[in-house]
Amino acid sequence: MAAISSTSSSNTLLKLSIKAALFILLLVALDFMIGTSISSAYFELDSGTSGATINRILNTRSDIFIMGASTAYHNYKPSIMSRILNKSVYNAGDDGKSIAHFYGLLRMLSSRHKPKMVIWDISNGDYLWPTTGKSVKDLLPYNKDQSLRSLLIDADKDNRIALYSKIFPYNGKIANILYSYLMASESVEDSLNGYEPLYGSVDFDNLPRSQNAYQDMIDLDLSFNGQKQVKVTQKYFRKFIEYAQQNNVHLVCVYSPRAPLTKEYETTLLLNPLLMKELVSLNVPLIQITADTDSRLNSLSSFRDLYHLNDDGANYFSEIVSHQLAEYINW
Amino acid sequence: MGYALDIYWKGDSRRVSFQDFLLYMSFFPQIMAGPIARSESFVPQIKKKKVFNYDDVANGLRRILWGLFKKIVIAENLKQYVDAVYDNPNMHHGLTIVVATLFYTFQLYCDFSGYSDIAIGSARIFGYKLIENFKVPLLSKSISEFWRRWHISLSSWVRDYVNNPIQYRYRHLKSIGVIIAVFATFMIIGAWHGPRWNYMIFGVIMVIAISFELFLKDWRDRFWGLLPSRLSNVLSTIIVFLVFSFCGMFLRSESLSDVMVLLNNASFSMDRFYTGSTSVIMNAIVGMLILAITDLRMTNSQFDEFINGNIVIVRWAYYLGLTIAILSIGVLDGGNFIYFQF
Repeated sequence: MAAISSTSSSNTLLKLSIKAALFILLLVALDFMIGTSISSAYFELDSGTSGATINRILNTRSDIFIMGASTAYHNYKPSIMSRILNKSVYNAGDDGKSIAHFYGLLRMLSSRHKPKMVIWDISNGDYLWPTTGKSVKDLLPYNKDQSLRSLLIDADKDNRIALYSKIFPYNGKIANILYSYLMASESVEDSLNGYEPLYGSVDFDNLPRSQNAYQDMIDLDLSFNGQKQVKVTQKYFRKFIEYAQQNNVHLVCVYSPRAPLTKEYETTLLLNPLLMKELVSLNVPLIQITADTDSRLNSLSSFRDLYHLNDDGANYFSEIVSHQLAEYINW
Repeated sequence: MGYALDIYWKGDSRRVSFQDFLLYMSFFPQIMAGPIARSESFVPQIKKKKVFNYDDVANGLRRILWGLFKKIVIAENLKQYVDAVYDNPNMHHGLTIVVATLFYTFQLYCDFSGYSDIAIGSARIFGYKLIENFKVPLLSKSISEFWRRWHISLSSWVRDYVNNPIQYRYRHLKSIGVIIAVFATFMIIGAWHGPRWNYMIFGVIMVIAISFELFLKDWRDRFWGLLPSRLSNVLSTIIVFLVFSFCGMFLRSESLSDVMVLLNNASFSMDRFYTGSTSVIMNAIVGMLILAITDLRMTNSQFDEFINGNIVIVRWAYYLGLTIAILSIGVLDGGNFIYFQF
């Protein structure tokens, strides 16, 4: 009886193993077919919200690239900077991206067309915040590059397994990719060279907690201290600088202004001293333009929200920052 | 607590060895957020000899896959919209709040029932059958029925250990006795969620709704009888869904003042409507459509039973489709399960 039970058990185990193997085989085949199709559609795109703007950046031959998260994306107007500096300028900034993302982007960009200068709109997040998988997610489709692959795994250990999938690099973006691909005739013309304007002014009625916002930000900056992923951020902070220096890409950091708060809470969010010390030790020039250093920026009417300039503010800021950047352009 | 009460009420025959008790208390699939296993059904399973069983393993894996789909594809995509609204109640107005509130009901259902499916499936692989925790509750036609289908292990636990004893104790008060028992039951359910006034108010609203159903049963039956049965079923399901969604505001909000802000700002106006990320919403809607089709066809069965009733092509299409959906539109770096906080 026991022998029959044991045989039956091993038979069912074999049945399950065969079905599991068949399932994995079918899954791999489907994953390959869907993933490859999505991939070829993705690399045809250069706009939209799927992250495919990276393809446009990689195909852009500009002297100067602006890099950084949302403050880069919304504060620097390439047309104005280009006119003053007499160089071609492209804004490669993007919302919510980490320094690890820009390190990967700079590597890919340099392998095609090395920029002469990178203007890095720096913030405390580039040094003190943890690197998350989300902040480098747009680099996933480019994971064939081995150095990018290790960056993606540094940002999120799960990528070590997930990158075996051909679909996963496009996770959450498939609808956008298909939409943009099928509507290719309506491809967006990038007349703003990557810049994304914001309109309107700070509305304190909609930001009731704004008076404490900077203190909240300072607390937030410090709250990640000691986390493992902060070390990843600092690793790519240094690698980004070293890579630029080793490849003769002029790197200038700019800290763009934050909105001045009411007189009662008169304070402007500043760069963390540790970060500034690191920049000095790595010999990276830093330009700081704040509401305290420029009277015209000491007005809420130049800001869309606490951290971003509106289009008018960006016009003015792009002009004054270009004049300061001019001294670093000797090529 | 249930085990201690069993021994107290039902005698020493329920007593188990310390080793079995430890396994019962620490059984990994259900330790974090249920389903709350009863000693009378769980302990005998410990004693049963475990051998590899194809059906148990296959059904367990099916349940885990379905649970992962609900959590990763639906709940986590909806979470992004719901969190954006509920974490900043002052910044949102009009229809945005209504949509976020309805989304939260689906998020909560998919998050918690997804967890239960994973727990039940994991236990099943090891040869243990845990109590079912959900039976398509969003298709309930009354609040009383809803609580027979939602978080069944908790609602049946409080029914047996709180509601029934109190109802028996106050049986001479007739309907009032029932209300007292229902009130005590939902206060305990509210308190079980955490020490917040929000949860108490959630319980009070449920008591009012169930009392309404109890006292006006004849009137309600007559009213629904006037309508074609299919229409009355649809309408009553929608009403129950809306009542639960309203109560969900108290579960999701950080504080009572946030609930007041949201109620004050809520309307059907499209003005300043927050769309969130269109791809996230699209992904969630695709997931909810698959859920709706499956739930409507499942009626009172569970996913593993439902899937076994289909031909092999449909079964495999489900397995592969759900896995591809998790890979392509799931949020794989999402947060914890909601019920871990309770």
